[in-house]
Amino acid sequence: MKKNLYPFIRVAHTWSAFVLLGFLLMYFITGFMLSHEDQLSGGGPGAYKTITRLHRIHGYEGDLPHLLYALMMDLSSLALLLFVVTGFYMWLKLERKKAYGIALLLLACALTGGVIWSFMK
Amino acid sequence: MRAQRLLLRLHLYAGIFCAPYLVIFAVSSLDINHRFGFMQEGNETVIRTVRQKIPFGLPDHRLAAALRDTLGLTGWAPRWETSRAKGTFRCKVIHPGKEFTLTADSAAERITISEKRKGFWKLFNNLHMFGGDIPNRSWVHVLWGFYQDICVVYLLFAACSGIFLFAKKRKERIAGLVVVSAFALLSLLFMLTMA
Repeated sequence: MKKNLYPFIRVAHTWSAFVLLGFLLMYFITGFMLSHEDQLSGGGPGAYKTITRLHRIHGYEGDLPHLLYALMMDLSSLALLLFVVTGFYMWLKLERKKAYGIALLLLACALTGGVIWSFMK
Repeated sequence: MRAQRLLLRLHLYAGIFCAPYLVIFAVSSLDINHRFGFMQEGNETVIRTVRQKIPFGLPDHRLAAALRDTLGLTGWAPRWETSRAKGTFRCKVIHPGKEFTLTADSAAERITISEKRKGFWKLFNNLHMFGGDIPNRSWVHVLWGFYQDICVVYLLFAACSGIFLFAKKRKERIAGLVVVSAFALLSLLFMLTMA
């Protein structure tokens, strides 16, 4: 069972990455530009407005391009979840020593938990 | 071969480190598109009062910032959320997890703090947009800002290294290239149409 599952997971990981590549990269790049607005405002207010608009389009409303955009957003979000889960499975299968991976995951979870706690307390 | 193995390890380990943010990004994106009921903002409110001298002569936005700093609150104090009426000043201090409404009474030298808690899921989703830059932030918020940037860089790296690893080993190179090109073209078309 284990032997049969790995190639399937690997294919799922690769193809979910392909879906992400085309669409989610745009989100990450425009998001990065939004969070570094002060340093990257050289493009002027017009360019900034366009980036903001592109990054914030959401919901199943409007004309056909908007509906397709929302569908792509859902597809990308699901592909990202699949990408993370399958990637984690592949790491479990590929690496014998798990200590470094567990330490990194715990570090990232602790940071995320710390931020959540700081805003909840 | 050793370089390829190293690349694969870097691809895997950086991915593990970024996994929590990628999950937050994916879940919050789904919520932005669908507005799930259980993820919406809570309305649990706690009210407390503090005796404090109030520098009433300051302009509205500076007074709001001064009150926030005096009370030791973390958050943004939007200019458009300030108002004055008959010896009282009202403003808001907002962060991803809470919304504080501050009502300062100059005669009584008293500040009433109404603390609205947004709830776990709203906070979880708000981390999507939180870049770590917030007034009166702590070191954990600074680290979060760096973490978010690392995740963006990782995604770019994962894309490049993933394509390289795929092209090295897989037989379906052409099919993969066609799918990536199709999605990239679709993405570009959307950007041009929407812009």
